[in-house]
Order: sequence, then structure tokens, then C-alpha cells
Amino acid sequence: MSLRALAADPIEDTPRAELEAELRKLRKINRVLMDRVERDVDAQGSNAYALFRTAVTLEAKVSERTAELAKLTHQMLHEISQRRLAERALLAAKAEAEGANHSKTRFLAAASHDLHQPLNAARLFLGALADEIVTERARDLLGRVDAALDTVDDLLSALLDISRLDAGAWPVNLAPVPVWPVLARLLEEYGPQAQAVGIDLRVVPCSAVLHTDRGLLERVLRNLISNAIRYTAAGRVLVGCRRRGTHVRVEVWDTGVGIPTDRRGRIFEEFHRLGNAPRNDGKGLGLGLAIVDRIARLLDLGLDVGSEIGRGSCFSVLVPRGEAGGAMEEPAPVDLAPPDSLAGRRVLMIENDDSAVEGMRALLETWGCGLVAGASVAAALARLAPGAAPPDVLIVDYHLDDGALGVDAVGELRAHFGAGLPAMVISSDRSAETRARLKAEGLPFLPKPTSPARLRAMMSYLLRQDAAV
Amino acid sequence: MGRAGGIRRAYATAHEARAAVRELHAGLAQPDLGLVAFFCSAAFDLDVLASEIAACFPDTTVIGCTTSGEITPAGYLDGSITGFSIARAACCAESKLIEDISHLHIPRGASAVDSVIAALAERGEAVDPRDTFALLLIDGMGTTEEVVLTALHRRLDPIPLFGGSAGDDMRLERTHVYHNGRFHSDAALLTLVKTRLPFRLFKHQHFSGTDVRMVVTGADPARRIVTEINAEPAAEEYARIVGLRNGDLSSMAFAEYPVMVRVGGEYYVRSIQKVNEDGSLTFFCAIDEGVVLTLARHEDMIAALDRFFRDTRREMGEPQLVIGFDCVLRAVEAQSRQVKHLAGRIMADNKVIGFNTYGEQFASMHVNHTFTGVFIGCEPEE
Repeated sequence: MSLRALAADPIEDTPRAELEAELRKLRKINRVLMDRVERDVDAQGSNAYALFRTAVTLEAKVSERTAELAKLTHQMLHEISQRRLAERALLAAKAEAEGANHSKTRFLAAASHDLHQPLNAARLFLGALADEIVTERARDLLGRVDAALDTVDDLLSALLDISRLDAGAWPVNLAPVPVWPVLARLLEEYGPQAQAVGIDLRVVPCSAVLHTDRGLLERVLRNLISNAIRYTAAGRVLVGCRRRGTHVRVEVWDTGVGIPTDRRGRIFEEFHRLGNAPRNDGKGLGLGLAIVDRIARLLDLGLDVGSEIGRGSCFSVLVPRGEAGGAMEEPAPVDLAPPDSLAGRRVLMIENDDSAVEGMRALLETWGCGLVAGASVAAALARLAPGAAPPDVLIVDYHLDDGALGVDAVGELRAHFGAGLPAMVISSDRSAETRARLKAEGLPFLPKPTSPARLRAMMSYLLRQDAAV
Repeated sequence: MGRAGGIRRAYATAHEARAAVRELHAGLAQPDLGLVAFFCSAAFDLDVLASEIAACFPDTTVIGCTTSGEITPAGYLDGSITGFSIARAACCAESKLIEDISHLHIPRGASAVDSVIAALAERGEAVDPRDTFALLLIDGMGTTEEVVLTALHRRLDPIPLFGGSAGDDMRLERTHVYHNGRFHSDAALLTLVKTRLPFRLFKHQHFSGTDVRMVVTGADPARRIVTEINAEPAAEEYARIVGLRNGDLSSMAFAEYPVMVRVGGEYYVRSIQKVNEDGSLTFFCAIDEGVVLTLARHEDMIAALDRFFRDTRREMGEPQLVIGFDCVLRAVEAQSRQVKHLAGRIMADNKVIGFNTYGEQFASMHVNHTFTGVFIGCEPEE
């Protein structure tokens, strides 16, 4: 007898014995199921089937959790990969920009060097020419040519500086800097210039010590002061300091024309000039504030400008304060003695640029000096007449052919002629490394294009020192 | 094989064990092996076969077991040996034999897992669920799979696991797993495979439920024996429900009329192994009193298998190797429906190497009448 039969057949037709058997079965099924339900409700059973059931439910839970985790992980991975891509793109862009910047700097340095060479020569020729010229008119024209060349020189130097600052290639030397000596020197430097145009330049004494790069700060103040003078028709330019907690604000006030509000942001752009300067002295290149802005960013100086049309402007930089104890002594200014007679002096020049040699020769000849020159030490020595007296002074270009350096050339020549032979290095490479190298070697440096006055002064200085030894 | 990641598949049909192993070795040999697996008929002289395997593959992780039919590069075969090898460049594997599993307690399972993980660590390989899976080969005549799985799973989680219960050509006497030059009974072989190839574990079946249900009213869970169904002798009642005479009950009938339990919203087949003298039924997996069994309805197994592989390929791409453990009753079913050659072709087309089992393992579940394994894809193009 089956359960199915039980369900299908009417109970009335079924014999009692069968019904009783069916009832027994149902009771048993019922009991077994109740036991099972009880076991299930009870704590986990430990037999194999319970383990299987646990495994299944565990697996269901795990799958659920895994799916959730997978979804989250997927989202996260997606985000991470997106971020990676963005980072990579940014890094690539940054590398590209840095590369472009570096190549721009290299290009500008090279271009600047190449432009300085003929400029140098032209100025030396001019210097020589000035000694020959007698008429007032010609002298005036020559003065203008010289001024124009000065501007080109300044422009080149400023452009090179900007590109170096942009490329982050400018060495920063942070140190305690007492502010007063800096301001005093600027007053000394700009006082006469201001006085000449009827402007009262004043510096308020201050005992503050700053923590910054002295050279760069000077550069900033120089630009601000010369701008203030340029844009002030009459009145005063005042330089002073205010303590502001951990900082000192160095301010340059003028009573000048002022800056229209809508143009305050643009004055820091390259070649941007207001065009309302009362004095067009031909020296405003429109690069001064661009350099100031870059230096301010490099040194993290808070650069601020306030202005009122017709009443004046105030440019200021917020500079961190420094420890007074660590302040360094201001180096003594180089003594540029009045020119002695250089007639009869023998100059040996190592220079790989023929036009520079020719310019130098023309200049030196007007001073009565003799010049022997060569592109290398060997070439120069070969040109010296046998048995001729040794040179009195060496003028050596820093960057020679085939990567040779002027420093080494000086060494070789001194080994040849004697260690005390006075020498100077000239170069259009004004980088800090080069200067540091020369300083370490104790060699004086003159930037190219070499101004005749400075060359003369330097030669006199070296030769006098030589005599004193 | 070139770029195929250094995976080789092979089989041998020689009757003599040594010759068969050499033939297999010729097909699987690679310069630097990470893992070798073989599945062989229990009809071979197993001692000879084991020592020949050890001689042919020295210094290599070799795993294997006896079968109730082999899944080879030529489809389903009986009485053969088949296997695969994976180059060391593509995988790193360590295995551990767990003996005396009929007396396994949880800590011993955990320490087995630890020792395999430690062995991998010693080779500088960290176990990570994203690149590591566990493969279990286990004696198919014990009644221990659930306990072993529970013990392993506690320590292994979240490393995914799959496995198969060894067979013996449906003689239902003695099954073996191979380790270290010898075959072992009452043992399980746990292997961790770390690979840089993409893989996915799967468990495939082709059943749905019917409304015909029955209750187990008498059982001996420890021996997986059901004595009574619906308060009637088990075999008799099962035969009546599926519409057969008691004397007609055979593996073919069990394959044709599987019963399932429903747990967690899904059906799991409880395969019947045999009818006993006393009219009780022995199962291939855990059973208990009070369990409600549902008669299963088949879907087209070939269509289902084909669909399964097409779906998996869509997501995983072309397989390099599928390690597949296919329930022996699926093979019986395919045989009785005369579609075994079709199933074999699908297996071969999808590069399946494996065997017909007495049970399959997936995560911590021991199941029946499934096709369970791992689908190993190709290395993504750089």
C-alpha cells in the first residue's frame, strides 16, 4: 500500500487493516520529520549530512559575500586604475613639461652664449673706437650704440634668468641675512640715480634679520626700487620693513602714477609694461616684475601690490625672519682701483672665438698693451716668439673647444710661466656653478660682454697685486 | 606548444602499466615541470604503475588517482590513463597526503593545509585566493568527504577548492590516490596550485525539481545507508516511485532517476551507489533521517554542457586546460541515452582532462551528479 494509493482511493473502500498500516507509516514519517526539525532547530548537528548542509549554507553566504566583495573590489580596482591612468598622464605631462623646460633652458643658455659672443666683440670694438673718436656728434652716436648694446645685454641676461628660474635650475642658498646692510647698499646704488631725476629715495633703518637667499632678495628689491623710480614723476620712494610675526614685510612705496586695478595681475607677465612711465629711459624691458614674481615663488615670498591711481603704489614681499647669530659678515666690496697705466703690458689670451680676440686686440692696443692669443694653450704658446718675455696677465675664456675649461688652461700656463702669473677668466656663462668653481680656484671673473672699464679696472687690480707680492 | 603556457595533455591506452605510463610520459614531458596529474583505470597493476610514474617524473609534484572512466584528449575512455603537465613557468604546486581520513579530526586537516602553504612559502610563493586554487583527490569508497572538507575548509578559506572522489571502474571496492611513488586508500591528497594563468572553478549540473517527494524514515548516516523511505524498505519504495521493479535497480536506473535534497534554495543530487541485500540503499554522499528527497527532472545534458562551456568561454576565452571531475552517474546517464560520444567530444573540444568520480567537491560541499572542476584560460596578452 502506498501513500499515493492512499491519496487516490476513497477511504471508505479501503480495508481497515490497510488503513491502520497506512496510519503507522504516516505516524513514522511524522515522527522522523519532527525529529529532523528538532535537530535542525537545535545547534549544528555533527553528522555528515549536517556538515553538508552547513557547507551549502556557508557556500551560499560565502558566494553572497564574495559577490559583494568582488563588486566592491571591482569598483575599487576600477577607481584605482583610473587614478593610475590619470597619475600616469599627469606624470607624463609633467615629465614632458620638465623636459621642454630643460631643453628651453639649454637652448636659451646656448643662444645666450652665442649671442653674447658677437655682442662682446662689438662692445670691445666700440670701446676701442671711442678712444679714436673726436667729434661730439660721433661720440653721442657711439654712446647710443653702447646703450643699445647694454639693453640687448640686459635683455639676454634677463631672459636667461627667467628661463633658469622657470626650469627650477636656480640654486637657492638660504641663510640669515641682516636686512639693513642690503637696504643701505641699495640706497647707495640707487640714491644718485633717484636724486638725478629729482626723487627723494629713502630707506628706513631696520635691525631685522631675514632668512632667505641674499642675492635673490637683492634682485627682487633692485627691480622694485628701479621700477618705483621709473614710474614716479616727482616725490618720494620709501623702502622700509614691518615685522609681521615670524616674517618681515619689506615694502617699497612710491608716489608714482599708480596701477589701474584691472591690470594689477598682468604687470607680472613678461614684457608687460604699463606705458605710463613718466621716464622712458630705455631701460625698462618689461621683464623686471616677471623675474620678481618668479623669485618670489621660488623663495616662497608673499608678493603683494597695492596701488592708487595718481597717488602711488606699494610693492611688498613677506620674508621669513632668521636667527641673528648666524648672520654672515657682508663681504668687502671688490676694490676697483683707479686705472693705472697699462702701457707695455703683455697679455696672453686663450679664446676660441676669433671675433672676441679681435675685439680684445683692438681694445688692448688703444691701451698700449700687446696681445698674443690662441684657441688653446698649445696654440697660444706656439704663437709666442721664442725667447720672448713671459706675459704679464692671462685672460682666459671659461668654455674652450673640446670641452676644455679655462681653469685648467690657467693651471697649465701657470705651470709653464710660474704660479704667480695673474689671470682672469671671462665668460658669458654666469651660472652659479661656474662662479663657485672660479671662486674656489681663486680666479677673478668678468662676465662677457666685457665692459672696457671693468676690464681695465680688473687688469690694473691684478697687476698692482702682482707688484705687491 | 609554444606560447600556450607550457600545458600538455595526453593519454595512453596500453594495457600494461609500465608501457602505458611511458606512453603518457612521452606526451607530457616538458623541460621544467610545475605539476603533473594523472588519472588511471583501477584495472592497471597499480604497484607497477606507481613506481613507473615515480621513475618517469622525478623531482616533480605528481598527483593522481584511480577512476571509473577517464576524460582524455580523445573524449571518454575506459581502462586508460590520462593526464596533464603544466610547466613550472606557468604554475607552482605543492601537495600533501592526508592518511587515515576515516579517523580525521579537524586539527589534523588544518595542519595539512598549513604544511602545503608552508611548502609553497619555502619556494617563495605566497598563497593568494586570486592566483591559487586547491585541488583535492580523495578515496571514493570511504564515507569521509564531508568531514575532510569541513576540516580543510576551515583553514583553507578563502582559497577556492574543488575535487573528485577516486573511482574503481564501478566495482565499488577500493579506490586509491597516488602520492610519492605509491597508491593509498583511506587517504586524501590536497594540492595547492599557484598559477599566473587566469582560472575559474565551476560546478555544473543539469537538473530541476519535480513535485514528487519522499521522506527518509530510516538511515545509518555514518555509513550513508538509507534503510527506509516513506516508512517502507528503501529500495522497494524508490523503485515504486520511479516506476521500476525492485529487481531492475541498477546504476543505470540511479543515473536516470536521481533524487535531490533542497538546501539553501538549490537542489543537490544525492546519488545512489547500490542496492544492498537487505533492501537498503547506499548513497555516494551524506544522508540522514528526516531528509526530504525530491525526484529530479533531467534537462538535455548535452545542450546544458554545451551551453555551460559556451558561457564560460565567453567570459574566460579559449581554455588551455580544464581539469574536470565528472560524476560516474553522468557517464552512465550519457551512455544510456547514447550521447556519451557527444559529451566526450565537447569535453575534448574544451581540453578537459579528468575522470568519472564517485563524488565531487566544491568549496566545502561534497556533491554528486555534477561536472566540477577548474577552467584555465590563456595568459592575457601584454
